Amino acid sequence: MTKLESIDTFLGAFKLGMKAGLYGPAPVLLAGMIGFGAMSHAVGLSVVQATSISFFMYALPGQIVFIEMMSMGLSASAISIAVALTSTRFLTMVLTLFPQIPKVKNEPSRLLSVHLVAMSSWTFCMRDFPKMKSEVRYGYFLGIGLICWLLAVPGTVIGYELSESVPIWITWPLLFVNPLFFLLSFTEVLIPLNRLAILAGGVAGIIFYYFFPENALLISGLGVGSLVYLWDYAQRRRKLSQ
Amino acid sequence: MNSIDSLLPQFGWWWIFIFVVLATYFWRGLGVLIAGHVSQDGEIFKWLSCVTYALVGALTFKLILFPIGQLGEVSITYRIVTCCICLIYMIRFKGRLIPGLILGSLMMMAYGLYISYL
Repeated sequence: MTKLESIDTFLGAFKLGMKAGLYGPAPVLLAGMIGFGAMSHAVGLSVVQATSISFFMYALPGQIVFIEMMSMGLSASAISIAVALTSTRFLTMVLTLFPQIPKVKNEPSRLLSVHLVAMSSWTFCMRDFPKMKSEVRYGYFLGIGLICWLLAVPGTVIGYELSESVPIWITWPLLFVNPLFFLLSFTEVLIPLNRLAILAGGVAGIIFYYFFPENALLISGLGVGSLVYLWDYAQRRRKLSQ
Repeated sequence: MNSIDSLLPQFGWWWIFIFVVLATYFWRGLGVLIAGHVSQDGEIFKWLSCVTYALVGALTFKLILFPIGQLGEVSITYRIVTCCICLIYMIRFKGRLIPGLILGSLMMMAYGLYISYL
């Protein structure tokens, strides 16, 4: 990825993004979608339902929450709230990612392209954006996002069709790929404050899960994340006044 | 809330589907609409980063330690050991993401083979 700094056209950045996507998050996402397809089959969804979820939701943790709760027979309102809570991260992900992309005339609609924001594309864009010229970042994001999104449907279909014959020793690694991907990406987070937030949120999440399993994510994110920020803010103020 | 549930039998699965799709898109769309008003270097940006990372951290730890589906059949000790080995590979040996993931997947596969055939 030495070419990142020298790219200066939208199309060049788009192509580089696609390439980065293919070598980076795409294989992981494909594996995750295959695992999701297998799960969808197991809970009795049709292949059309399974692929529609991947295409229109395109958020693996939310998708998994959705089909698991459906299979448990929970109410529509409970499922919607749980999925909405699982997806709150997209707001902060978009808010941290999109301001780094300057607006240009006749750019592809952000209200459409925002659908491509996912853990896969976000992690790589957050890592690579600081190394790039700001005017080509949108192309890079679209490249990574589009290639990953386009792979979501075939991945789901493959997983769905395979699942009848796939034994448990293939299902387990497929189900484990997504959490492991998230965990390993954390080692590439460079800002100490964000590292602290991951650790504090993670540990708090485990504790809160025992007491408020349905709200653990929101409490850990909003509550503990804010506490970490406030602690850092107080530290900075103290240093400033000294 | 009850009105949503009472509509469920009429519309069935696709009704819930539309709801969860909208619930997912809502946050993405809202992000686009208010993105311009949030300064990248400002305090709000720092706060949002903390909230995002804390939330994704909680989600990840939850998925590993308390998975809802079949992954729960894998011993929790083995799941933690696998994660630790992969993390050590990434940090101590300056490993790359894909090899790290393959390492973890192979360890899960080995566990599955052991349970299935031994």
